Amino acid sequence: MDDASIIELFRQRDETAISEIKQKYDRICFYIAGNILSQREDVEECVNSAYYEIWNSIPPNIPKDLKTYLYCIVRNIAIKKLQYNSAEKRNPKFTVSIDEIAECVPSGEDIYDDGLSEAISRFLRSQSEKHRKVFIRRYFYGDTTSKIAEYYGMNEKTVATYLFRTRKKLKEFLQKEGYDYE
Amino acid sequence: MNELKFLEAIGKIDGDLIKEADIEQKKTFPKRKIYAFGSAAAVAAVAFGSVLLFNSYGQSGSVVDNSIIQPNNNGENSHTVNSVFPVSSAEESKQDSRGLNSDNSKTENSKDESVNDVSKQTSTDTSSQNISSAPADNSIPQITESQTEHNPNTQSTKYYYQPFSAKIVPGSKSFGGDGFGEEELHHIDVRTSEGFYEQLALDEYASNGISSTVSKTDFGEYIGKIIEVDNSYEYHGNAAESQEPTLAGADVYYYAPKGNNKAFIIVQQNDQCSIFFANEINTSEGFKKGFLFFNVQGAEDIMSVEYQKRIPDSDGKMILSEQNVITDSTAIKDFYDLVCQLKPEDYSGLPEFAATPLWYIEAWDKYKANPDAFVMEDYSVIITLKDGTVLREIRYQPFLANGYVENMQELTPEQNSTLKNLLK
Repeated sequence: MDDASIIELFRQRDETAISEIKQKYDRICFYIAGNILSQREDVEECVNSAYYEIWNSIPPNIPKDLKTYLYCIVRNIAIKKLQYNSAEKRNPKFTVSIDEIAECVPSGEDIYDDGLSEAISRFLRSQSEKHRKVFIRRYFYGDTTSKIAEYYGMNEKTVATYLFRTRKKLKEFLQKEGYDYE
Repeated sequence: MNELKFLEAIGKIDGDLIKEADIEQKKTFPKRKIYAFGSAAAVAAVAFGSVLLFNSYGQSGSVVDNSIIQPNNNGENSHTVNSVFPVSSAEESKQDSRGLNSDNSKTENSKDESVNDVSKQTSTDTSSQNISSAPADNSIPQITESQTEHNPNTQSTKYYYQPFSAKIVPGSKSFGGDGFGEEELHHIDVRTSEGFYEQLALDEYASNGISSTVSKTDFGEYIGKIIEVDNSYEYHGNAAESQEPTLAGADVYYYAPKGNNKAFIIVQQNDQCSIFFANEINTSEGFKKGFLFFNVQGAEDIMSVEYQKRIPDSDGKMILSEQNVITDSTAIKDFYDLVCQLKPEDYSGLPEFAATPLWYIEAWDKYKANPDAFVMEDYSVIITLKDGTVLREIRYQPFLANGYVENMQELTPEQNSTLKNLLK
């Protein structure tokens, strides 16, 4: 079933919308959540929570792109779960090393609003397509460098180099945009 | 934890960027995780399959694999599971009880070993000491210290090309710069006053016009000895510097076969040499000056201009729609002349705390507000020089305002039209 029809089922509050969206996107949802969370139970809970959230959000939201909308929900729930697990020291796991991203993280607690996401989007648009995709596959989708290399037919070291360069440039960009780094 | 909040912020980037990077997942069974395995239907199917398998084995006396489980009725992901069945101990040791292929571990340097030089023999473990062993041929005259210090233009068959291994500790911030993730492969770079150079993998030598064997004529003008710094991405004022501790004291030369093309350097330490390359054209002062770094004096030094044009498909994903290599000298000259006219973006004129020109932001906002009103085309341009150097990925987006070339001010309508016509 195409996405527009699935959205229409949501609008009509027809519960077959859930089974339709599961059939179409279950695998990728588990993939995204599984890259972030280590426990199978957490992954299942995360994906089920995402379906619940999407059921509650459509309507009133009518996403233009159902797939991306769902990916974002799954990922955000998984990250929140990871935050919870990390705080409670319960098997935190993310294929992305936190140290890897740490240098890009601005200091300050009150900066994590939509402005930062918009700035990151602007930055990514100014990068080459390949650099951009490698960055997003790593830090949104949580892919390993070997997986990214496989997807794009690249040398794994080249993937690491791309990530390294992009992180450096992102930090410079955010500094220019006024974000502080201690 | 701010890092997780930052990752959360990445989760809220524009949807078309996320979609652009989406990849159709292949129907493979995840090797380490079994999802949704607890359904009663799956358990029943396994039990049923086991019975069938046992019967097959019992009757024939040989191992029969009847382990494929059909998808369940609601079309959810199917899982292929091998039932456990009685086998000999030898057979058993070869089999994963889930019937999955074993995950072949990879060495980190599998690609670096692909170019063989008969004069080199080294360890390729990135976490180990950088080891250099003497090549097989021992008939070369001994080279004195004074000869190797700043001028290894001697009989150099004892030298060989082999990338240096990194020794930076994973996840460590002790060097003040990038903390590598544990699984992230280490890479090495060198900075000089002229540029930022990254180590070239051996399998990229040929495509960049670099020989796989060292010859005495490879060593050009001497640049200096590498000083260890905390972060080689930022320049600290040394003739040559690197954050990689094992490179401290290594000698750096321009790669002579490329003449005045400063994009290639040789780093030499004992008998081991490696080529480092700066392949991004710096257009902060315009294309003309950026080209000079690569000794491009004019269009006649350019061999080809390749472009790849991408457009969105029906799902909004960017797909390659057109690709061409321009070799016509007149067209190359027109391209060179046009890009050299473009003015670099003046970031000093931006408001405080702004890194993006306003016209660029407004152009994207206009597009996002009404994407159907635009023909989205994304060009990547790759320039190959006559000496074999490949300059990668200058970006051009004609649909943004009057046209956008990476790091340049907004094009004029005439420049946009001319450039688009050239890239056909």
